[in-house]
Amino acid sequence: MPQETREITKVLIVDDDEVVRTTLGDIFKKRGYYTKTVGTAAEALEEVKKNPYHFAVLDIHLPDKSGTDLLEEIRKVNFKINCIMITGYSEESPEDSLEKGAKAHLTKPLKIEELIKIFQRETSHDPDARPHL
Amino acid sequence: MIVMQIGKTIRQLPFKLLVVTLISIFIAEIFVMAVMDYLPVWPPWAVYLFDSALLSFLVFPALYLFLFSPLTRHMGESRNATEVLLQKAVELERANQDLSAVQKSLEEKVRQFKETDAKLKESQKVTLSLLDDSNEAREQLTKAKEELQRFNDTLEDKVAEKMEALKAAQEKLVRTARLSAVGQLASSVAHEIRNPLTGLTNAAYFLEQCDPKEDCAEMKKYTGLIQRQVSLINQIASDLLNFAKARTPKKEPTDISKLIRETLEKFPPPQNVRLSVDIHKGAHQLKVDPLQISQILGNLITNAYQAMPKGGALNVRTENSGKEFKIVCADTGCGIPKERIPEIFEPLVTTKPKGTGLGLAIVRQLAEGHGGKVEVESQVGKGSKFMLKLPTEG
Ligand SMILES: Nc1ncnc2c1ncn2[C@@H]1O[C@H](COP(=O)(O)OP(=O)(O)OP(=O)(O)O)[C@@H](O)[C@H]1O
Ligand SMILES: [Mg+2]
Repeated sequence: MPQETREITKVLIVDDDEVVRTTLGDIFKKRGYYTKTVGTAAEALEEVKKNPYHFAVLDIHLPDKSGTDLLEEIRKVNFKINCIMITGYSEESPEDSLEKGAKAHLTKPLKIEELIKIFQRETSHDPDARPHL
Repeated sequence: MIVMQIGKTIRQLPFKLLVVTLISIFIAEIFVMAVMDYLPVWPPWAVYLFDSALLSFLVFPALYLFLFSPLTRHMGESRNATEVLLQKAVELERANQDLSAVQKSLEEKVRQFKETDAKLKESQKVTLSLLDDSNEAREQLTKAKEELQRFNDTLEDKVAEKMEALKAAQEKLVRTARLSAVGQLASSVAHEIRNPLTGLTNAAYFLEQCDPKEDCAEMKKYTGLIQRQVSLINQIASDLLNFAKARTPKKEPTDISKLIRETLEKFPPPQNVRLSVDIHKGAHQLKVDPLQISQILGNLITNAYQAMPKGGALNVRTENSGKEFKIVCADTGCGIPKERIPEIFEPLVTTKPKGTGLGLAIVRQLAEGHGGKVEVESQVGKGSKFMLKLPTEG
């Protein structure tokens, strides 16, 4: 497959904490992904309808909706999106979101390598989604 | 029956009548024989005819006189007697019937009597058993009295025992409440701190990826970000310590109007919130801890701003009733449902994604430390009014 037709990997980051979402956004931008950062579930849904994202990083505690509910709604719009849940509460069980189709459930503070490994694992299945380096 | 009557009648006939009849027949026969001897010879048929005529002539009246007439008389009498007898029989029958009726009624009486007797016996039995019961009841009463006495004797012990158990239960409750409060606080704090920590680790990762020669500007931006995250965590720590500390107010005569104005300057309203202040002219000197009162106001004002994300108005005013000094913060925010009002002053109760729920708990603590109180009036969708009431003589 010729290099030019390869699509750039698109990542959507949803977290109500501004610092968390901008730092994550900066990191992924630096690695060559297309990134978009939003603070609410409503904005996230709009973005998902507009753009065919490959990944969505979702905080479980959002001001307007729970992250797991958002996960379900996103998958209704585009079930191909690989969703990764992040949370500051360690007492939550990851089964709930995994059952609803999340690829992973990570606790804050995040280990970025872990997140990137998941990205790489999922993009190796999908030749369309590769970091644009 | 008739044959018997005839026999009887015959037996009753006088013997002499019978003799007379026989003699008359005898004489008649002799007379006939004599006539036949002296008279010319008659043919035998004439002799028989004459004989039987004579016989019937003589014997029949005698028979009638002495036999039939008494016989018929007797028969009439006997018919009468039969009738009388029948009558008697009927009467007897009736009497018999009467008798059986009497017997029946007698039997009825007897039955009733027996019944009454049975009832009597039953009631007698009941009476007896009642007597038994009353005996038993008396026994039970004495037993109960004894038991009561015994219970009375141990009552004090029991009360003491129960009190102790109650105390233990209460202590346990307080302990668990405290524990669960600690648990809640821990989880809340963990969440609060994990966001800035995520910012810090993300920043560290980002800086690692940077080339110091090329990305100088970005690296500078990130060191600033790191400093802000550290001070945020520090703020959370000092908020908690602040709440946990029991603070006795350091009261001093304070110009309340001035204090309110200074506090409002420290908490400027967001662009979409209109702030209005109505404070009495003239100095209100109150003996309060200015730092604590400022903290109370700061929390109330911050809550009000947070309740109006789409904008609104906040009015801060004072009222003085002589005995009480009131500071009122009235907003046009989302309001609080009635059933939630009692709980909002509890520590760690919050509806905000980034709230610790300590604001109003601190407000109440400090107000009570001043001998005052905080009151709320609120209507969902219309707004809330928080009133800080302070005693004027403190
Ligand atoms: N002016 C107000 N209007 C509407 N709701 C309010 C107002 N003030 C307080 N509340 C409600 O009471 C809750 C508790 O308030 P409190 O100040 O104790 O905690 P917080 O504001 O949530 O967090 P923190 O103050 O610790 O940052 C709030 O979460 C909010 O739901
Ligand atoms: Mg508050």
